[in-house]
Amino acid sequence: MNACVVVPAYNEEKRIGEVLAELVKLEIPIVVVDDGSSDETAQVAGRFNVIVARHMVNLGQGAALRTGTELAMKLGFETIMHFDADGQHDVEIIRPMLDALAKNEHDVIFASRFLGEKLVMPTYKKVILIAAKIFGRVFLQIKFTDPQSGLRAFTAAAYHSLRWRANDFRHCTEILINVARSDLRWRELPTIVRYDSYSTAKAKRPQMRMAWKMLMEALFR
Amino acid sequence: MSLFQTIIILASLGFVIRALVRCVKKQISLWLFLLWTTLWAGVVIVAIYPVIINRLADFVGVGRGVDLIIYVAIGVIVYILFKQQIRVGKVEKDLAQMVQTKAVDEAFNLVAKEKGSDKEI
Repeated sequence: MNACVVVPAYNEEKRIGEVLAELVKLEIPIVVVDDGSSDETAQVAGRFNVIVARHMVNLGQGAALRTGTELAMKLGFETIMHFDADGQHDVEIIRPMLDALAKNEHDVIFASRFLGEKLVMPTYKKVILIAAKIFGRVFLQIKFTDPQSGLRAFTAAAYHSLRWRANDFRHCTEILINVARSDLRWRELPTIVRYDSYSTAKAKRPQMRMAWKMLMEALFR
Repeated sequence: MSLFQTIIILASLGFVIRALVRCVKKQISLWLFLLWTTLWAGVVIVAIYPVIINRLADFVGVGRGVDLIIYVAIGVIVYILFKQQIRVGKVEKDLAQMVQTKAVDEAFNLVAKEKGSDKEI
């Protein structure tokens, strides 16, 4: 399978080494996009057998993923997977997701934290995600179980339909909306996301501001 | 002439002189300078002859002259903010596009170069 894993990274020098050490074991080409980090993220990534693209300035995770995806497609990869650099995502899910995509029955595969046997995450996060799920269903008409899934795999052909414009974290929801409004065939697979003090501190996002922006976009787009 | 009128006239004169200096240094265009001068000339005229604004307020149906000034000022500020927002959005979009294109091209060229030297990616 001609697949590539895209890893967006912003100031992840402490964690990206561990993540890439696990990822390279899978022997799948990896594109790391250093999103204008002020630390040694790009240098740490460069020690591994990966392709490193660098943003001159910090644009946001959505923009970094777009850069990585477009680079992967330019390099001829037909399947693209998005994977976080902070160590939250489970490497074990990559093969099943790519295998599911290889069957040609689906165009996009999402990993969902809500399909596993047990929902392991901090309570505040659980509350926010459940609220976001209801918000997404009511205002955005998206029926995915995980409203902020950042772990996804898709075919290069599907990219044109799901191409996101948001440079920041809103790309997660925008991709779900684009998929829901397109003819793309999608499926969710269960995953467990690891939350530790590092990733929790990194993931602090302006949730209310994001929700407001998404609502405005949904209403006036 | 009241103290208020004197302050308004001196401040307006100061703004116009500053705009003139910028225009001479070619930091702003002649058109912007003329627009700026016209604006402050209008402020000076209204400060000297406040009856003008009261008559105008009566004409458009607003109670007091000062109310008309506030309504017009809010309208102008909202319009300027709207235009600025559009401009900032466009600059952000262009910047993001430029940064992304550069990142993709540099990485692609590096990979192509390494492939030429048979390094596996």
